[in-house]
Amino acid sequence: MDAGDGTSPGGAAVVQPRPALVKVRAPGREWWFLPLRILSVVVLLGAWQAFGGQERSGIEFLPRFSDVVQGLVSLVQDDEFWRATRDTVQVLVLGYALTVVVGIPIGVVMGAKHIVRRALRPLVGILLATPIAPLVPILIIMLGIGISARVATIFILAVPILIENTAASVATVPRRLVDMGHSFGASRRQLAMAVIVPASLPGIFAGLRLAAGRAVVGMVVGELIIASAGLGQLIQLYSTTFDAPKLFATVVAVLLIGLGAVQLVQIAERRSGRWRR
Amino acid sequence: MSDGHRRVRVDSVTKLFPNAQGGTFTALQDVTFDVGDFEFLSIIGPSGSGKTTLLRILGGLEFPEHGAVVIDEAEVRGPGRERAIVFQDFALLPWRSVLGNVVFPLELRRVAKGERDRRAHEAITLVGLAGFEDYYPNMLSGGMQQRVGLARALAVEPEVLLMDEPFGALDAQTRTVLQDELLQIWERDRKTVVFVTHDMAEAVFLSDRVLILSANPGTVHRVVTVELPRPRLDELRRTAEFADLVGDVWETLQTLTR
Repeated sequence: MDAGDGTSPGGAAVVQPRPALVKVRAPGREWWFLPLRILSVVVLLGAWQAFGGQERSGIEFLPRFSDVVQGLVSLVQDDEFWRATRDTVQVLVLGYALTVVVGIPIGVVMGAKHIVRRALRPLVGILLATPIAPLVPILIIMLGIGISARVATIFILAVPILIENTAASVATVPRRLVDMGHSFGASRRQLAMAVIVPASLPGIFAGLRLAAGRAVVGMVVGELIIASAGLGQLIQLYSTTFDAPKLFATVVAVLLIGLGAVQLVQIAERRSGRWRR
Repeated sequence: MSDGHRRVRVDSVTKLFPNAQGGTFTALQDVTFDVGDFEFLSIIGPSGSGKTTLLRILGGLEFPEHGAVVIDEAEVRGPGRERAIVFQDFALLPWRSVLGNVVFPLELRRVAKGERDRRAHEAITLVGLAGFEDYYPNMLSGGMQQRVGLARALAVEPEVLLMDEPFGALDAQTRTVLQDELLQIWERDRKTVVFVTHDMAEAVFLSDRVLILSANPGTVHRVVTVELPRPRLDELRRTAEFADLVGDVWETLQTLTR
């Protein structure tokens, strides 16, 4: 890249896009990529269709794929399903918002301040490694069986991974950028907002993505253990009534919510990072 | 070249660092020198002579255990508005465009938007980057990135420009071009410059005086006055006087590294 330097007036040279002589495709862009993807899904669903609904497969209640699709169709026509979904998503949004608002500042301070890092590391580590289920009864005792206990379940599950990722990326912000900010007289606040946080964004977004996944887990756990509410209530209902098609369909709905949450984070990430390529 | 009035005084500065054995390592010992108003002073020395540490102390990023740096009769206790640093590894913000990087220090100082853009454009034009305002650092060559670093420092209109091996990461040709341009800019708008380098020819070509540090611990070993006429152009590099001075500095450094 430096080779062109000094050749144009003022020694300035820039890397210009030039017409490619050979077509170079990024990996994953070959012509057979999409058909292969479709094929693998078709094979899986076909096997499911073939195996489902048969006692001799040794599996008691595996509905056919087509049954699940039917279940899904009847679900989306059901007001109860939409009420449950709204309830579920609402709690998810609350829990995730709390996670973001609390997790990022704590992570930033932890990454920037050695003492805070020392103090909080063990706590965050314990939370990261603890299975959530045994904590839920404690949350119920503390918060009752309302929305707050479900929000807290999401928060406790999601916040440590966000804190950990934020702290790790803040701690590895290049020293030269911090020095640069200092040398031009940046205040602490300016240094945090204009240098440290933007420089840590890739790590923070990695944390946000992981936290979104864990928030969805917390959402389902909360609904299954704490209160029969939202989609968790439907899951319980359909599993106790052995309505396998609808059970599967509800699980698919939960999966889609999880996927959607992670997608939203990725869209936000792409918007924030147009300088990165 | 100096008009005799001193702008920067480094007064018996001693800097210690903790070493791996739990003791201390003396990076700089009793370093004393002055920099005159509008003087171009280079600091050169073998690795381990603490030249970068010295520059960081001048910039207020590092503090000496003993001694002090005084600029315009005021002791340095941190970064200040009258100084700006050009960093060895450019230290550009990769998420900001060329313009964004140059206005950055002006934003920190809450300079009004119109004034900010005017000064930034002026500095960008001065370093030959007009037209590249919207490029991001990763689209630029190393030489162009350091032009941005220089423009950023010039935009704050410092009285003292501190340069920490600014061209050290560049290839020889680009380095020469940037040295010429730096001198042109400096001739037009004289500032007090402290320039750290490990390149002897660079030090001689640019400077009024070359300060040679010895290593372990870093002390002032010798000061070479460069009385080559200004403005200095590329041809100067091929004259006998220039070669003699570089040879002189080279021999001094040889005795230090042996």
